Parts: sequence; C-alpha cells; structure tokens
Amino acid sequence: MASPRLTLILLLWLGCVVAFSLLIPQTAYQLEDPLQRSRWLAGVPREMWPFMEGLQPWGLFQLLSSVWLRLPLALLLAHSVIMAIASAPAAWQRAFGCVTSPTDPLALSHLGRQHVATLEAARPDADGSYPPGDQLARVGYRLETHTGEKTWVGRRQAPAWLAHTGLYVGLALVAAGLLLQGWLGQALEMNLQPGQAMRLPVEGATTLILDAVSASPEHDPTTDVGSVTLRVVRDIGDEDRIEMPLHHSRLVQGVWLTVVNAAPIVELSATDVRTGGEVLLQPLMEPGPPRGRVRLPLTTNPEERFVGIPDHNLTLRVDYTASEASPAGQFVVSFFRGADTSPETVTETGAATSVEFDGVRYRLDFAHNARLRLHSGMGWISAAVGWLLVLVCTMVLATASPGWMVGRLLDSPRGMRLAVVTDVLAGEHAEHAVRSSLHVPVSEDRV
Amino acid sequence: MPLSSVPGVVGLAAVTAWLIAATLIAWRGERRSTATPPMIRALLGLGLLLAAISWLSAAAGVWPERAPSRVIHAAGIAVVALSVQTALTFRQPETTASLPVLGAALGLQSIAVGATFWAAAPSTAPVIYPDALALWLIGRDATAIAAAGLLTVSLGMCWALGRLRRRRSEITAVAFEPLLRAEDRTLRGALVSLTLAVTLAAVRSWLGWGEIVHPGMPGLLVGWLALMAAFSGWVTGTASPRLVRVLELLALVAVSASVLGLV
Repeated sequence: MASPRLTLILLLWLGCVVAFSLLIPQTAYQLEDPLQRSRWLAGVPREMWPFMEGLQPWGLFQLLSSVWLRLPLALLLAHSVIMAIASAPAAWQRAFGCVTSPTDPLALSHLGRQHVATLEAARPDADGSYPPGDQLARVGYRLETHTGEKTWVGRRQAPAWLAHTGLYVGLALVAAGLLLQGWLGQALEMNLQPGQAMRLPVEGATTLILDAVSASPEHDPTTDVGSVTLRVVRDIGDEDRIEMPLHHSRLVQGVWLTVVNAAPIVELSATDVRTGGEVLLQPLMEPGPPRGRVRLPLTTNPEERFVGIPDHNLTLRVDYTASEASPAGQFVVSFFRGADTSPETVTETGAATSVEFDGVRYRLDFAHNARLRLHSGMGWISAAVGWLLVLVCTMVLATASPGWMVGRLLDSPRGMRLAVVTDVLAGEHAEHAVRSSLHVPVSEDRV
Repeated sequence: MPLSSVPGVVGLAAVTAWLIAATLIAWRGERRSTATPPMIRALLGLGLLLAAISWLSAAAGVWPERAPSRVIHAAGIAVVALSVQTALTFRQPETTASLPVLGAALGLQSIAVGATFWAAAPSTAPVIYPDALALWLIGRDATAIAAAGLLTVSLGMCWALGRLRRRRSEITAVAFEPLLRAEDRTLRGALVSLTLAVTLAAVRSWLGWGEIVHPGMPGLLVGWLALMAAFSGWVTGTASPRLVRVLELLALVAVSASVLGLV
C-alpha cells in the first residue's frame, strides 16, 4: 500500500473506468426502477435486449456510480493516506531537517529516484567543504557541511519536497469527497412546473416552490438564456424569494442548487364545444388518472407527446417547429382515430391558440418547465479542497525538481571513502547530472 | 464554412508551406548538408503565421460548444506544437527533432482544413449560455490545446532521442542533452496546462450544470490521469521510459479527442 507504483496503477485504473464510460453508452435512468428500466430498454434496438439485460447487473451502463469506480477510489483513499503519512517525515527532513548519517533510516526511505553509493573520495578542504561542492552548486545544490562530523547535506529546491506529501493529501481528500458524495449525498434532477413545490432533501421541512420561468427568446426551444424565480419556504414559516439565471448555482439550505435548463413544454387543455365542459386528457407516457390540463415536453422523445382523449376514442400528438418564416414557431397537432397509426387530420397553428376537432376545442400554450439539479451532502467540498491542493502541488512539482543528498566521509584502510545517498524527484537527466557531479559513472548500477 | 473561406484558403497555404519545409528538411538530412537553412525557417514561420490566422479566424466562430465543428482546433494544436518546437530548436535547427513534430503539425492542420471543407453547416454560433460560462470554456480549450501541443513536442523529442541513441555518433551526442531537457520541460508544461484545463472544465461544469461529468470533461480527465501516472512514474523512476511514453501518447489521444469535441 505504500509503494509509489500503486499510485500509478490506481490512476490508470481510474482512467480506464472513465474511458470505458465513454465507450459504453451510459444512462441517466434509475435502472432499479422497473418503469425507468423499461423506458431505457425502449430506446434500445429489440435484438440487443438480451445482451443489455445480461450486462446490466454488472453496472456497466452506470460506470461512474458503480463499484468499478468506487473500488479504485476507496483504494486510492487508503493508499494516499498511507503514502502521506509515510512520506511526511522524509519530506520534512529533505526540506528542512538535519541528518546525521547516510545510514539514517529516514535518509534511506526514498521519495523519488534514489541512489546509494560508496565512492573513492579526496580529503575535504581545510575549511571542511567537500570538493564536489562547486559541481553540485552548478546543478542547483546548496551544501550544508557539518564541520567535524564529516557529514554534509545537499539540497535543491527543498520546499518542493512538501508538495510530494501535499499531493497525496489532496488525492486523499478528492477520493474521500467523491466517495462521501456518492454514499451519503443525494443527487436529484427535477423538472418543476411553475407553481409546483418540492421538499428539499435536508433535515427540517423546507420546501422549494417554482414561481416562474422566463426564457429569451421566448419561443426558441433551443435557447439557454433566461431565469427562474424560486421561493424557499422553511418550517418555521418564513420564506425567501430567489431569482436565478439559467446555468447558475447557489447553496440553498445546505443543498447545492443549479438551474440546468428551461425545458420548453406545451400546456394543453380541452373543452367540449357544445357544452363548454372540460374534456379529460391522458398523456400516454405518464401514469395517473386523466386530467383537464396536461404539460408535454417539446425537446424529448416524440412518444412522450401523445395524449389520449378517452371519452372520444382519440389520440393526438403535438409537435413544435420554429423556422425562419415563423420565428415564433408553430404547433403541429396530429389526430389519430381509435387504433389507427396514420393521422386522420394534421393541423398547424400558432404558439398560443386553439384547434377544433370532432366537437372539442384544444388550447395550446407554449411555456417552460425548470430543470433543477440538487446535491445534498458536503462531500463535494472535500473534493474541491482536495483538487485545489492537487492543483497547487502539481504546479510546484512540475516547475521544480527537488533534489537531496547526504554524504559522509569515511576513513578506510584503502583511503578516504564517501558514502552518499541521493534522492531526486525529477527525470532521468537530473539524476544523471547529480551523479556526474559526484563522479559516479552514469551507467553504474545501484549499490 | 466552405474551403474557399478565409480559414480554408489560409489553412491550405500553411499546409503547403510546411510541406515544402518538410521536404527541404528531409532533403537536407539525406544530403547531410550543414548549410544554414534560412529558407526552412522562413517557411516554418510563414506556415505558423498562416495556420494561426486560419485557426483563430475559424475558432472565433466555433468556440461555443454546440457550433458545427470543433475539429478546427486541430490547427490550434499544430500551431502550439510547432511554435514550441521552433522556439526550442531555433538557434540550432535539429532535423531529427523537427521532423516528427512538423509531420504531426501537417497531419493536424490537414484534418482542420478538411473539417472546414466537410462542415457544410453555417458557422454562426447560437447564443447558448451566459458569457461567464463561455469564458470558462475558452480558458479550458486554450489550456487543453496548449497541453496537447506540448505533449506532441514531448513525444517528438522522445522519437528524436530514440533515433539519436541508435546512431550514437559524436555530432548527435552534442544534441542529446538539450533534447532530454526539452522532453522533460514539455512534459511538465503539458501537465501544468492539463491540470489547469481539468480545473477550468470542472468549475464550469459544476457551476453551470451542477455536475462534473459534462461533454469534454471525461476526455480531459482520462488524459490527466494518464499524464499524472506518466509524470509520477517519470520523476520517481517507478515506470520504464517506454511506459511513460505510452502513457503520454494515451494522454495526447484523450486530450485531443476532448478538444476536437469527439468525446
């Protein structure tokens, strides 16, 4: 768990999961819900159904919320915590601490490319400085000589060593945040109609009511410009009114709320021409009893825009088209009799008008629903702080190449020897430069 | 955006200039001539200028993400890669190091020019979201393009190093050390750019859509994970040089796919 090689393996594992989520079509449907599952399957060619149903229990269609992602994240969390704890003393020593000997266990716990060697050495100068000092200074090392102790320490860009530990702390916070958000947090996506209320997923009875949605230009179904007006009603009776433009977020009662979209819809109602009474309508893709007014989404599957009129044995479908000729757009209403699959009549009409067919007057109004995304739980804050730390530490490590070495002169029967440990957090060439400065052949194997 | 538009014509002229430069470099290498190549430099510079004009004039129309084609950003990667390469080797033009990056730039520029030809849809972009989000997007794309360009140079240097190692002559040994340093610096620069790109993409997705996984983000994330793994292996010595290069290549593919709007 404390091997740097595991960092590499876990990063690659996470990369593979994200890459597979790009290759395998992912779904936003809750596949545990039978209704949503059948809607998902309805969008898949029939011959693929057995194959898809076989793969679904493996979580391959929701990879980013499955164990395939959570397992490497959990391992990354454990590994990063262990690495941070294990590397912190050595990183501190390389940045600021003093060392008494190359055989100090901390000196031998390598963080980067480590090299341990014993070399022939010249006697130190009278002032105690070590002869290769000039060469090492040329590659950026500052030598600290401990006079009388025959030990010296060389450092290059020393504070950057702390970024090594900081990076693991950041990765641990990111992994913990993502796991907490997936485990304890709740992510909801809601389509609210004006006047509709929803209970926020927080402690206490806080309700969110959508007062109004405006989009600009009003009749352009592709527009992403506009705003929503919301009311937050708390259990103690007070309320706040907030206006949020589309694609803006804010924290509301501990819930991260984002206005994702203003989805264009058509509001449809019907009255009997002779009696003036309300005619009941039944959207085919929505469960529940027939009602007097229905709202149909205009930018989703056309199958969701079929409405049954049970009392008249009719079905109608509403489509919406905008063109250069009619920028305000127009509705196209197709009427189907009984079980017929081709329409009996197709009528085109403006964006706020009525159509009459078979003794019933249908009123159509263009309107918008607001699509809101809510995140409860504070795991995302941990992930954000962690990523900030990762960003800073990556910048430091990418712009600096910290190096450290400790050497000790030893008197031996064959003359002066130098025991030296180097640790470099940089590419091959930096390691070569240090070893050349110490007169260690670059091709020499590690001792 | 037809081929006869400004980006199309100017982009084609850049391809032509680079093709002539590449031919001259190859010919010079074949003849082992040591004469200074002012013409090659001039052609490379002219090609860079034309490609930059082509890219920026087309990108101004396609930056918002729903516009017809983001493939024009391939020209951006080519411009960044060749600019960095030219800056690194301007004083001592090294044919072995220049050719792979020039080849990659030619390929990318051809893809971009091809996209201007095939993208028949008008390039006027609809107003789709607040300006602040568009600025995050421009920042994300600019840093990701810089990362992809730097990765191209890093891999080009690596290819050149491999060739120099095989030759092992006295003349080529002189060029060895600067190439090794350049490879290291471009790898580090790519990591900095890509980390910034992922940050900008994540902030934009979270503020504007309340989620992290948004179009363009997964590609950048895969690229960052691969590049971080490569960098980690590179500086700690836990990955072989070959594995580091494979990971760099993976990162380049993922980031380029994200920049070009393919994932």
